[in-house]
Amino acid sequence: MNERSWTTRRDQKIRKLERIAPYIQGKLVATDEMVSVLEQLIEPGDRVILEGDNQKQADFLARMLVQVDPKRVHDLHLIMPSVERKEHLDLFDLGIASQLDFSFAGPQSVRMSQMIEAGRIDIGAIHTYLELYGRLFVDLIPNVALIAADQADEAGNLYTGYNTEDTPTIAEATAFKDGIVIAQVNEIVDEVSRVDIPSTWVDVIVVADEPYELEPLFTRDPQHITELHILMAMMALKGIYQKYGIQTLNHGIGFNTAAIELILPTFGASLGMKGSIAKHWVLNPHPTLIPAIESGFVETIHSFGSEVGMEDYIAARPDIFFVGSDGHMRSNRTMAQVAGQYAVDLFIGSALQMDPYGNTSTVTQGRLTGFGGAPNMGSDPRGRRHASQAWLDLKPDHPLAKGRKLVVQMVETFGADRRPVFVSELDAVTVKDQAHLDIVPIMIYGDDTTHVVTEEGIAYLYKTTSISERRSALSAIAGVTPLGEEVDRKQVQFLRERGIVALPEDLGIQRTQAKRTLLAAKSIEELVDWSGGLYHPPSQFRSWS
Amino acid sequence: MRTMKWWLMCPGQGKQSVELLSSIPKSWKQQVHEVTGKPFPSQTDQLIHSRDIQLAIFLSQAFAIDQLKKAGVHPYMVSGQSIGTFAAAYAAEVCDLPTAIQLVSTRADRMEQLYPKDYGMAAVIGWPLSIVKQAVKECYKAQDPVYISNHNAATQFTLSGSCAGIQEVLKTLAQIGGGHHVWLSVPVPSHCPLMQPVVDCLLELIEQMTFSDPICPYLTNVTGLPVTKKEEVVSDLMQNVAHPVLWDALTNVALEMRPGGTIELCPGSVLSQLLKPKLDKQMPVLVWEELGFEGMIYMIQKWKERLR
Repeated sequence: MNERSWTTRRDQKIRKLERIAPYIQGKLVATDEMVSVLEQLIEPGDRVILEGDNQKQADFLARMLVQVDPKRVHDLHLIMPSVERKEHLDLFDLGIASQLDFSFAGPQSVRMSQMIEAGRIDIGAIHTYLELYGRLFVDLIPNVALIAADQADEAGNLYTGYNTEDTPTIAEATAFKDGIVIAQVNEIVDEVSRVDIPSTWVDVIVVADEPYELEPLFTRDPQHITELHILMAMMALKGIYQKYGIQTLNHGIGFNTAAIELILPTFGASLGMKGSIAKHWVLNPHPTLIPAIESGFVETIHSFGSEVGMEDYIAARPDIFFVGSDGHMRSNRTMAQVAGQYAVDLFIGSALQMDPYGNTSTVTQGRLTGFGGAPNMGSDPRGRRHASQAWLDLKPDHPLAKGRKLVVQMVETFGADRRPVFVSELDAVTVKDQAHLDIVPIMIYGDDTTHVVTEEGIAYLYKTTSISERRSALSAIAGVTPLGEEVDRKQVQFLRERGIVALPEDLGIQRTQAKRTLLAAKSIEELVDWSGGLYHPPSQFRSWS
Repeated sequence: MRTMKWWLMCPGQGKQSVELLSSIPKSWKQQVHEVTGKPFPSQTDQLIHSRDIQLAIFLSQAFAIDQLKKAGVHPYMVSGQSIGTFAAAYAAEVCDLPTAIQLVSTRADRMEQLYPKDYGMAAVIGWPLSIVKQAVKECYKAQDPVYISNHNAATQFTLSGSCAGIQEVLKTLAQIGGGHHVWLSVPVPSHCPLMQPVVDCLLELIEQMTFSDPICPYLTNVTGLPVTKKEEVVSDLMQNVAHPVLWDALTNVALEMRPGGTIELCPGSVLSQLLKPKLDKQMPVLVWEELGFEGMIYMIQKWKERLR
């Protein structure tokens, strides 16, 4: 009987590393030799995870990878949490990669959709972040990881800065299964500020030709918050946050939720919400949180990533944020996703389309955005067992019943393109066939959605007892869209009496109260003032200077 | 130092005026005569025939491209709409001037000969694709063919085909309501299968020609996607006349490639107008017709300094 080798992956790794011996000193490779090194380390068909996080990008390594000779390196199976840059898709046009498993592709959604239609890219699956991270340890174990960090020391210890994000997870899945971990860094230092990834997980270090690009993706300028946003924020606070005593939560990234953050210190305080709601957050450090933090609403925030310009402010508030002994924040997308799924009572987000049953999608005709993390947070985790007041409030009346997470969708009845957000069928249904997907790419399912807030009112969907009643409840708050015309005044009245629908007046809110003066900060400049000058907005947000 | 990433846009037929002719050097007009065997109008009052109009558009764009390059402005990516694809390919150095002249001239001649009358194009504005598609499907007849040709924006399309067929679709859409239409002053049903003979003719012509890989990404009319191989660019030059131009998708894809700014060559500014509602950040959208060469160079310098 032939002796089976139990070290094939290790042997392959050793062979690969031997090939780059002429290029490497310690773990360091010269910047201008990186293309040759990649050609030696990556073999046709390899499973390569390229760090596109939601924010931080291994952009130098991506630019080097598109330069490899496709005759030598081809048909890679690429794994990417986030497809963000043109190079990521260029790899498929050049034949360097052929298969893709990913989670989010917002910034490349049109090209992605066109490429799938033209048969230029073979999609394994579109995942949520958590399931993609999970599969890195099961059936998508990478051979090579291309990651980004701020600093490395001579030994190869890495410091990621505030945007730790997905990097440790990606590196761990690769390093402990004899894959090769290659890190681009902005600089080599004698001693890293702190060790985010230990040197024993890292095989190759290269200094990038320029620092990795980082954009302030989640900064929302309060100037663009409308009175409609404020009205909806008031309803959400009174009709949901206060009603259930929400302590732990995750916010979306739109202007709707920015409005909630900014009226906590004014409207929220006037209703005595301080200290009783919205204390523990899973959220990136959005600048619009500053007034709520400064006025004592927010007690803790754990973050997926960081936000450009917030560094000094975060460093000065270690009671609020997760700050290391080095004085800098460490974010962690994996743990924040777990926290956002299991440890918060409320998720509130927004969508581009909603069907009459409350299913929502951000996929619209010609755009394949993927999922990111919203489906993890925007669903009731059936494995949850710890109780809280809000969770128990939604418990059905049944001996074995458990509580339920609040999944709230906030949408204006008409979108930015002046087309109804409420549609009879989601574009996602057509996109499924166009993109040859196995299932319709729904972001949040209607049966997970407990509340929908529009400028017309709130639908308490979890109280409905049938599909048709859910449809009526949505119709009651769908305004002048075709769906909104399905119910008459009498039916709405009946739904209001049973607490399934609440209009602003039912919540004691007058529409005329919704003024921009309620915003604790009405501009980026005022956010800077609230921060005591610690928030440094990036140039594109400094319109006043 | 970072360089400014300019997206060069070359529009098609539509807003041309006789002034285009004055921007073309005399020697180039002679070259047209030499390459095609037919003279090119030198007087400003002779821009009537499709061939002359299309050559004038191409030549003025090609000359502008040469001027820009001499001033050190090199595109980060290029795209053209319909006849504009030839200048885009010229800017990407896929073909030289005589080759492009011959292709443009032959394409225009052949288009003009195919349907001397009763065919044309109309723009429909305000209806989404699904509704226009359904209307075209209902109205299509073999003797009065009609197609959706260009996808200019989410609710802006053009129809191409027989005038009778187009008329039927317009009637159907008017009954649905919520939009309007404009007949285009194009006597040819461009960008639909009726133009296949033109494609066949061009394919024959290129057998004798040589091309190079583009020096920068070229976004195709047929798919909206960037391509980097000469075969793919040439295929788009051949095929686009018989395919819908997916300009809306092309623009969205181009923005995902993250250009720093755009330069729209003559004629008109329609591509910039289609682009502007899609911009979510401040970016220079420069229009040659508004700025002229010197104004263009001044603006480009100004933005270059901002990058420092």
